[in-house]
Amino acid sequence: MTGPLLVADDLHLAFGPTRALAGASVEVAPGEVLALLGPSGSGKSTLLHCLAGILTPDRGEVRYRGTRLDDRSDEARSRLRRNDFGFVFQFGSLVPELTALANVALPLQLTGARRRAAEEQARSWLERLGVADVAGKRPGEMSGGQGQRVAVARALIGGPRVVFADEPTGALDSLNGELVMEEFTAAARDQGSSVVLVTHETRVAAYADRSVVLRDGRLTAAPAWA
Amino acid sequence: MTGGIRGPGGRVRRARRALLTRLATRCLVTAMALPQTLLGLLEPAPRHGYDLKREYDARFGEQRPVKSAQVYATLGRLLRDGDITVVGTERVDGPDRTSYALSAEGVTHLERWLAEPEPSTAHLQSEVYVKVVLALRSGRPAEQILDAQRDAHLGVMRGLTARKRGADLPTTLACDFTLFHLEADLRWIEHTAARLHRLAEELS
Amino acid sequence: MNRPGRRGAAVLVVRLALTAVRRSPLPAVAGALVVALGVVVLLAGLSMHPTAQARGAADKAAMAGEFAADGEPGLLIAHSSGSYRDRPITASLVADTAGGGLVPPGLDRVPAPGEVVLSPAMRELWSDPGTTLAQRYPGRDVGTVTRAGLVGPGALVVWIGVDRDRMPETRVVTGFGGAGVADIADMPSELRLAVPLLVIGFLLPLVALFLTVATMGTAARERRLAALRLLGFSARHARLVAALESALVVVPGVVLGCLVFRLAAPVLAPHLPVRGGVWPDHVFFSLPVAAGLLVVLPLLGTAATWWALRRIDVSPLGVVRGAGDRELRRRRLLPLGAGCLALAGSAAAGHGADDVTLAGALLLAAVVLLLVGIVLAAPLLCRVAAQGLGRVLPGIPAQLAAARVRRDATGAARLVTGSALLVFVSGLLLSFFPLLETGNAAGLRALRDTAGGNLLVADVQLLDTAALAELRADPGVSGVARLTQVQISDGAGQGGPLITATDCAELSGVLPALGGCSAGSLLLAPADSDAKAVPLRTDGPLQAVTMVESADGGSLDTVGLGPLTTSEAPRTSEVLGSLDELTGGTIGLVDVSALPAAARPTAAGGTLLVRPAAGSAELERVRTLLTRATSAASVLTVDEQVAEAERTTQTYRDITLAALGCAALVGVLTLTSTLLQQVREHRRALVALWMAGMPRATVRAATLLQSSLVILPVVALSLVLGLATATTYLALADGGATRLPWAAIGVVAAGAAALPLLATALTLPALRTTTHPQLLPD
Ligand SMILES: Nc1ncnc2c1ncn2[C@@H]1O[C@H](COP(=O)(O)OP(=O)(O)O)[C@@H](O)[C@H]1O
Ligand SMILES: [Mg+2]
Repeated sequence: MTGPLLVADDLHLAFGPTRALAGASVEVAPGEVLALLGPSGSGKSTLLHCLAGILTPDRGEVRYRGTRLDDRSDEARSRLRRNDFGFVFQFGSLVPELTALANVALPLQLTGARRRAAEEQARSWLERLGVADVAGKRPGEMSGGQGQRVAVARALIGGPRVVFADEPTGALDSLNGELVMEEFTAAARDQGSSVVLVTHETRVAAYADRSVVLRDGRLTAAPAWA
Repeated sequence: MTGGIRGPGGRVRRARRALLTRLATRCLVTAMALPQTLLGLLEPAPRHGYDLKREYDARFGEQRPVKSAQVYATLGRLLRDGDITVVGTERVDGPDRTSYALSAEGVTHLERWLAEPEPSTAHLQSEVYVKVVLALRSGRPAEQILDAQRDAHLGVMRGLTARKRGADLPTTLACDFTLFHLEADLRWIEHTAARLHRLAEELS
Repeated sequence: MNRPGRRGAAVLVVRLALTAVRRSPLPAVAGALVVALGVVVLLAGLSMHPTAQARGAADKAAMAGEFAADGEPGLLIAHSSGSYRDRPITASLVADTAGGGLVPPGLDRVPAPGEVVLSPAMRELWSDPGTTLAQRYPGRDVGTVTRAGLVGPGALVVWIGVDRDRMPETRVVTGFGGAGVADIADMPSELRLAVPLLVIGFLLPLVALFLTVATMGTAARERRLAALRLLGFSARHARLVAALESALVVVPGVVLGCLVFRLAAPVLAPHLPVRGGVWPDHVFFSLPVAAGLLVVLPLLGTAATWWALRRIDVSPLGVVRGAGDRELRRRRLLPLGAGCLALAGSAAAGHGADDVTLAGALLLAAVVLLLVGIVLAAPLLCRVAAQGLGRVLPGIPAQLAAARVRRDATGAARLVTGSALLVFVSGLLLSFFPLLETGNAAGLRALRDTAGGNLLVADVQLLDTAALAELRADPGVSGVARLTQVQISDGAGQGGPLITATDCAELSGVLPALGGCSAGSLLLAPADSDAKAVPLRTDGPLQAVTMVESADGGSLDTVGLGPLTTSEAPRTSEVLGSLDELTGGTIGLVDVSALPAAARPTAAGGTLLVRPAAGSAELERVRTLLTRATSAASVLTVDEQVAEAERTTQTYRDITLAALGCAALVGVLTLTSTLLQQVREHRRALVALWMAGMPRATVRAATLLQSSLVILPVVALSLVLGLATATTYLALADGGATRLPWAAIGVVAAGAAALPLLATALTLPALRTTTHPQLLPD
């Protein structure tokens, strides 16, 4: 498929009086790792949520593989999240009650895989990310770095077309953050998943193929001579 | 901002050069530290000048290899100061090769250098800052200067980060050095960008 | 597009829910236990009516139901009520007229004169000489009353064989049970309206309890659901998981509750504090009802969860609550206002009107509107109270408490809604008590007020002078007096009113409050009293009407009375009036010394009053002596007679109090679990406060204050509304003649206010484990 995989076109979104997005436009190419940079409160997370179909913009449209995403039903968007998207958030967003292994196996099971097969695959993902030893632990019993690696494994296991990562290293020290980013982007590139990476850290953004900067709900103008 | 470039002012050429090259050099041992670096490389075992240049380039000279003449001149100075001694000469189908070794004095100097903290240098009057001020005074979009600078920096950082992928630890750490400095620059850019309005007010 | 296999997803969902329960078993187990307790209470409530019916049927089956004219073969039976240490005894005299083969239920033969047949519980007491029951019901123990003749396993029943000549009863019994027996203890009509209220008062807290349990553990659940939403669960799917989780708590709770009730009820039934205990098989545990509960309660819980989660949007980012306080519109006050209007309308429509249909309908509407109104208005009220008090009260705890209530007024109000409704409903229920007291037991209560409750009263069947002497000499007796009735006439005609004859000296010993009764005195009830409907001229000589027995039957004769001092003493009229209950409406009291010998009381007839010595612990011995002295069927104290007369009322009262008690118990449970849940949910905020240097004591004070901020205004509101409704109702029911039981209502209100505070206090220890720095990162 040629052309952008995911397009946000002139998105506006306000939370009450707060204008979180004010005309944000961005495109994500297939297989591209795109960093959304910007100071906190600039609307990065909001843009990411709009792109992922979690939030619906007040104005503007989001297109995924050429068709609109923002006006689909909750059911349809849930299906997209299940089949096409993966997520890594600052605080894992793992199911607190499940072990690391069960958490990673969950997306496969949700798309109809048998438990045993799903867990086998989950185990290999945990190994790949170097956290095989926490397979039996629950999110509360892992360190931040381990938790994020598990979250990365869970985001990638289903072979999503797009992985949305919101400050994936926000809770980690910089070394751990870099290690996680390295493993994350390498694995995503390996399987050709696009990544939308929200961060305020330039060193993290440097793992992307391309960076765009958000300020006050809008992307900064592309420099004329770039 | 190029103010992050460290090293004695005389050694840093202020002429306009490819930004990437200039930035990348910062992570290298500057020429000023060449004598001490050579002492350090000589410490484990005696070796000759060409050998030293090769190892120096491999370890520190990735972006800007040191010139052979520079090495030999430095070795001559060290020999004169008594920091190294000549331990032998051999000829292997080519020019004569003199092997040097560290003297006791050299060890002392090396240790003193290692123990001494590097003076930090401040470059408030960096070129980018000058550009921003000039742009504001002339009503040009100063923001774009910063954006362009950020883009350039980010490009370099992406390049360095890509280099790190699969690289050995020394390379990784060398790249990290530059990355962290670039990050500091970028922070300055962010802070400046966030307060451009006030800067414009105070300047007018 | 690979849809998740429906079965696979279902299995996954169940597994997730199970894991959640397994991971934090405490709330789940506590929830299930609470549900189980609620189910036990509910089943007990549901089985109350069938059990009462079964007992009624058993009672009825053991009663004489078919009669024949004198002379036909059958049984002569006289039932009487006795009492032993507050346990009622049914003593039945029986005589077989012709050996007709009829045997009372539970007996294998009719006891011959001098024989007794005892129920097992009775035998236990009877054979213990300390109880003196063997002397009270003397005879040879020849058999045991079996199940068919007993209302409960602990019933005290004795059948006493007597000579048919000595039987006071002349109707011949030819059958037991059946249509001939009047329905016993039908509900007084005043209570008809109370029943729905009772049901509401009983069910409200239970429903609140189930809802609380169903929506328990919300914070953790919301996190979990958000995580699942992110993975592609649709909103409906997520709610389904939540509903399933609540079912996972409710269903085991229901099963456990049913099981506990099924197993415990038969064991406990015989020991229930009702007359004779309850036969285990009279406690109905119907499988359909249990199955119904198993369906209805989880459905209720599921619906509650569904509803709770509908109002909030479980988005993949977490739970976005409906805009919170902004939602609290004034609109919420509408039902309350409408209820108040309806109440006022009812009061106005009922004022002085004969037809109270409209007023009654308005009142019912007002009750419903107010119930809804209190629930809806509670959050608003909480917030206003918090705002006001937060400004007035000094100190950090008050500020903190006010801020917390303001932030989540709806959640805060949830704490108090149950109590508020309880106060409202119980205010109404309690207002029925005074209505009941205007009923049939009024005369007895008057007697109790003037004569004291411990006065033993026995109708004299046949006076045993030896036993009487023994009675008088007994140290446990401080006075004995006999009342008999004499017809007197002023000579104008043969007919005349009845007057009570007694030995004034003796009577004054028994009833010191009665003044003016001395040798040769005639005390007449005041002229305006009903008793003096028959005019009697007291200025002329009075005569006593006596029966003269002769060979060809009896004839009436009159004999002149001795010299009399006639007085009409208003001071004693109250006591005199209350004696009516014993003397059956005589016009007054005459000293026995004034009666001519022919009119003196004989061995039979009349009433014997015995005053046990103050604080006498030997009431039962005295009772036995009195029984023997009089051959009386029933020897009861005035207290016991009142209780007997008020049996239905008492039952209503007991049921009401039991229901209120259960509701309170369930309410405290609900509250405690709600509060614990709130503490759990707020614990990060609590830890943050604690880390910021706020002492635990302050956190605790704030927590308590927060509860009181919420509870006091709402309980006060419902108290006022409940009282207003009750007053309106009483005004409709009997024109405002009855006063409200202020004390009882006050106690209920105080309890309702104190219980939540108690519940809060119970959760304070949880704060200690909550304020632990380890909890700060989640
Ligand atoms: N659910 C919300 N309710 C109200 N305001 C919100 C909500 N989410 C975000 N905002 C506001 O929108 C703006 C952008 O937020 P966000 O996208 O989270 O910024 P970023 O991720 O760049 O830090 C901020 O001002 C934030 O306060
Ligand atoms: Mg954010």
